[in-house]
Amino acid sequence: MSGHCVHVIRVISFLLLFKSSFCLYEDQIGKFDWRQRFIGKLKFSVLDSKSNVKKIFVATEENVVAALSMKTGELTWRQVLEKGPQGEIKFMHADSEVITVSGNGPFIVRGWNLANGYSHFEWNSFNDADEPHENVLWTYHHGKLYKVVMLDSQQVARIISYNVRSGGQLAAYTVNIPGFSRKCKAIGINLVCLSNNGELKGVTVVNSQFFNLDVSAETKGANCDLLSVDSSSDLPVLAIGCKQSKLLVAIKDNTFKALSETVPISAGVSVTQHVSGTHLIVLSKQIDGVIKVNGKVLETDQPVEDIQSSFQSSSPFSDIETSNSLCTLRRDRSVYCQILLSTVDHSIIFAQTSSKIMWTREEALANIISVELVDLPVSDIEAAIEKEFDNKEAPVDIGVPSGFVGMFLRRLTSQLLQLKSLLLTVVSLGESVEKNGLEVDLVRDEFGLHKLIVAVTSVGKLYGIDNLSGNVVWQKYLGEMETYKSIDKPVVSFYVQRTSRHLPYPAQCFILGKHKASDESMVYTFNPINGQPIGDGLHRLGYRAVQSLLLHFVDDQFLKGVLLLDSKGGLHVHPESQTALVSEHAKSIFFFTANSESGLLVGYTLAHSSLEKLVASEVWRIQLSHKITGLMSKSPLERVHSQGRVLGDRSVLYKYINPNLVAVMTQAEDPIHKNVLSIYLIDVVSGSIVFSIVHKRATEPIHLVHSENWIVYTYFSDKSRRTEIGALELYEGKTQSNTSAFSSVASFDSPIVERQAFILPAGIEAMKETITEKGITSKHILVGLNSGGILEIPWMFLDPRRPLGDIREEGVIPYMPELPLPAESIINYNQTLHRVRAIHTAPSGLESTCLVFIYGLDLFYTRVAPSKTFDVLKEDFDYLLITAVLVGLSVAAYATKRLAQRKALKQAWK
Amino acid sequence: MFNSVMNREKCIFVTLFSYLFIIGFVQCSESDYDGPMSITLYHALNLDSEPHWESRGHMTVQNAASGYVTSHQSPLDVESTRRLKVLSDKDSFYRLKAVVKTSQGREVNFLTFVKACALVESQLKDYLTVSVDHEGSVVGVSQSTALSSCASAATEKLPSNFLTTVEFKPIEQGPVPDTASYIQKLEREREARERGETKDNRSFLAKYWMYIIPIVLFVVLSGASNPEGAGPAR
Repeated sequence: MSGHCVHVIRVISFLLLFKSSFCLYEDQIGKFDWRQRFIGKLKFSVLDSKSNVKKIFVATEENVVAALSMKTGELTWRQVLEKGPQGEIKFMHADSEVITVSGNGPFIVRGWNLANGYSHFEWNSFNDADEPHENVLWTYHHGKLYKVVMLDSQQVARIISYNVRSGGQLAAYTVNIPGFSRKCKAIGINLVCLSNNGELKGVTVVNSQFFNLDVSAETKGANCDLLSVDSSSDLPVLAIGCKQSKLLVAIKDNTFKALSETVPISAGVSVTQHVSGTHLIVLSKQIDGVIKVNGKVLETDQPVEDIQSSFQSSSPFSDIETSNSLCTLRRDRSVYCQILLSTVDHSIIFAQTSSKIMWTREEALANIISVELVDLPVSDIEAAIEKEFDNKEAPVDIGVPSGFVGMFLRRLTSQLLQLKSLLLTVVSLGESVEKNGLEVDLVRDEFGLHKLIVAVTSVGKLYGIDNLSGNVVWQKYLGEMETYKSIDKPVVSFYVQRTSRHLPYPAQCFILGKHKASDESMVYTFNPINGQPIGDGLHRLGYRAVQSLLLHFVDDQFLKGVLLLDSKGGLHVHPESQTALVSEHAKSIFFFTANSESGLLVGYTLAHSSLEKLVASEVWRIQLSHKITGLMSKSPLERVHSQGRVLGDRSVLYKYINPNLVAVMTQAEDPIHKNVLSIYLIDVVSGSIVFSIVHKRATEPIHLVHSENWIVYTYFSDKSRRTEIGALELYEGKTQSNTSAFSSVASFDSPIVERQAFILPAGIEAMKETITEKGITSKHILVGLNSGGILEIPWMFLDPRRPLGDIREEGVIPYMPELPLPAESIINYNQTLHRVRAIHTAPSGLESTCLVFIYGLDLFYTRVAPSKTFDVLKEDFDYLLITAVLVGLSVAAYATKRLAQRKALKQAWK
Repeated sequence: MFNSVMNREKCIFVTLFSYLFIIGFVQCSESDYDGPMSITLYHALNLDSEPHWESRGHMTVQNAASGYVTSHQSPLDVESTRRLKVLSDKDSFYRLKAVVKTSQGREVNFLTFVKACALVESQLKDYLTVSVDHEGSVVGVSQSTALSSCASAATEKLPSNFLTTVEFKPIEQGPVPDTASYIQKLEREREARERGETKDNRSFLAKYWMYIIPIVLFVVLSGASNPEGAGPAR
């Protein structure tokens, strides 16, 4: 009987869990979320002049082929090719269809429909055994695709021509190029090589006709290189780029024609058709953040006045890398050009001469490497109120005696301000917001849902993005700074030193990067709300920092310092004024370094520091025997609400919550067990290995999430050919060693580790846990799937204590090896996200809600409520009904009271 | 209500730079931990940041799997005992270096530490945990003491000998999805259901009498208590 009941309850609870997946109603699409699609840094571009709807066809460094609308810059279509070198786009051509050659070994030739990007054809071109994979050039001419393979052992170029649509080989022959270097370019029907002695040699691939040019003295020498020049005309043009300048060379009737003067190397050059068979050269150059454009006729060197123009925008432009232009003749014989520019900070700019910038695309956002969600400051009125209660600031701020008179005055002013704002909102219902634009909008809301996304990109450009609209609020290009590399990924140290909660001090962020030209480290401190530098701004440190550490205490200005360890073992505090404060706390500061190559982990303490000098002394050392491929600590923002877990027999199993626990992954190639994945849980204060686990035949992709007292990791199992998820959970036991605080140094017996593995029938690109303000809400795990969806899995499904037998515990569902993939749990519904790099989660002011920002090639922002929005009224909450009911009830109460009184009176008279 | 965990020792780690301390280690492919290995212990009893290593003892591990260890530790002399007490009074660290020498002669250094006061209060009773990876290589040596925290109780006399227990902590095998027992469970459930279905051929009333009787009783009772229903009978 009871068994029957339990079974029913189990089924119901299971169904309920499924139901609690978070689906969106159709009318809620785009309400809390937005998606932005990117293409990456421009590599090839073709301005389309023939179609009705004007488009720009582009191919990018991110292996994306796309068409952009000329009017708005929006994506008309986009095709994302294979990741990495297999999808690297080698060549693009567009006339009746877009033709791309990609890959690096077998080359894949694809044709795309101009209007919608549908694939027309696809074929492979394999290399012969003697042909190198690099140094293969491609060119297209009249329906034929030419593959030029440079066989440098024989100084011979092998030319193979294909029918572009079918892939059928039409002809193959070799051309001898005596004395050629590796600097060759295929352009039009010509193969052009620059020899080491500065001689330019050209050969027509169709009929092997040679032509030569002895280029001028200044472009001679080994430092020069051949550069391609984008041309929207039939005239093949290329440039010889040297240190300072570049020389343009056109190929006409099997001869070279060099331009009389050279162009600065940082200028963008493009060639376009002009009247009566002449050609225009359009030059664009960045001077003091303004783009200056001028042009001249290629054949006559005559400048064209019409083209001359300059463009500027609110944020300064950086140097131009490539440009492409298309000029047309108006009825009044004046020339106007459309110019597509790509800059070193990965922006794509489209402008029209004699007019303005049409649009810009911030393609650096396709390569975000680090993100923080920063609280917005409070509005001026609230700031005034806060000031009123902040007694400490009083004498400094106003200068009036801080007695009751001063307090009274401040209260009066703040209340006047409040009154004013009330009147303003009443008079012009929301108009004031419109008037002042963005600036007014950027204030904190009551639920802490409005934040600013501060993103650091791999190119060294910073962005401030409004999380509700997805608009870029500010941008800043740190030209001199570049990123570090760690485990083959670009990284920067990015910390929030002070949040916006500490009025009147502005919020402050800290970025540590590398100086481009030298080995030194660079620091940029800035206000995340507007991107403006604070203090020294961008500056070089004069040493190479090997480790950085955000300190856990604040100074009297609520600023958290950053501790930097240089390559010589010296310690520095940033800002330097905090050195004394750090030596006060020195006893409690521990940090560690890890060398991914050698697997060496070293722990340091500052305990041996004196007041004058900070010293880091080594206290522990762990030598892992393999390469470290991942390292995951817990989020410093995380709070654990529940310290234990109630078991079936009503006893409590206490969680092992060690904030200093770090999960370290190593991967090894093993001759017997193939790929071996080991995970070590290391207490980085005491340097003890708390637990370690090994998986054999486990390969990439490997992802790990570490939170509270559990670790969830995924790997691809080579043995069973599927993605598996491992879950570990750590418990102290039935008693808690220390109820108030955790100490790594005060050691205790090693924790009890529960473990379980599951199967996820999908490929995984990224993984992250949700986080909320107080940690009361249950945790979910967000998994970026390679199909482009973001799956939300309740942690309950990954609980290692899911029982196989009949042991019942509260909130534990029976074990099932395969995890479900319900479509309702895909939080980005049909908004496919390509190449998800990472998922960033941040708590909001509401305990129920977690803000999620997903980045990769596309950006996606949304919010999730793992335990449903228990602290907010529903969207479609019927205010009218509840008001009506309340009013009705009070009326009824009043009426019945009167009626009862009358009845009582009547009865009294009887 | 439990609140967030406060931690005394904080270590906020954020970034890892791969070029750190490049030490060219040549990893032997064959396991060189199969044979006996030796662990030489050094400790530092000075207060400065640079440790001054002094020999503490020597251990020979015949076989890591069996955990059979022979150890020889030199007794602490009076001067060392005094310095250890100074360390303890200053709330400083007792640092230990373990040099692991494999049967093939490869040497690896490990460092570990405990609070000196904890060691003193434990009467020099300590544990050495040697973590071993899947190939049998030692990856870490960490020391812990019998009493984990300092009660700041005055210790008059210290024994002159360390009482050390060496533990080997092998890496554990990762879990694999337990499909076999899940299928078994499903089988069992199916069988139980089939058995249940064949046996349970009682009538509707026989099966659900425990639900029907209370409902009938409830209806009857509520009908009896109703005066209007009972009226005509009177």
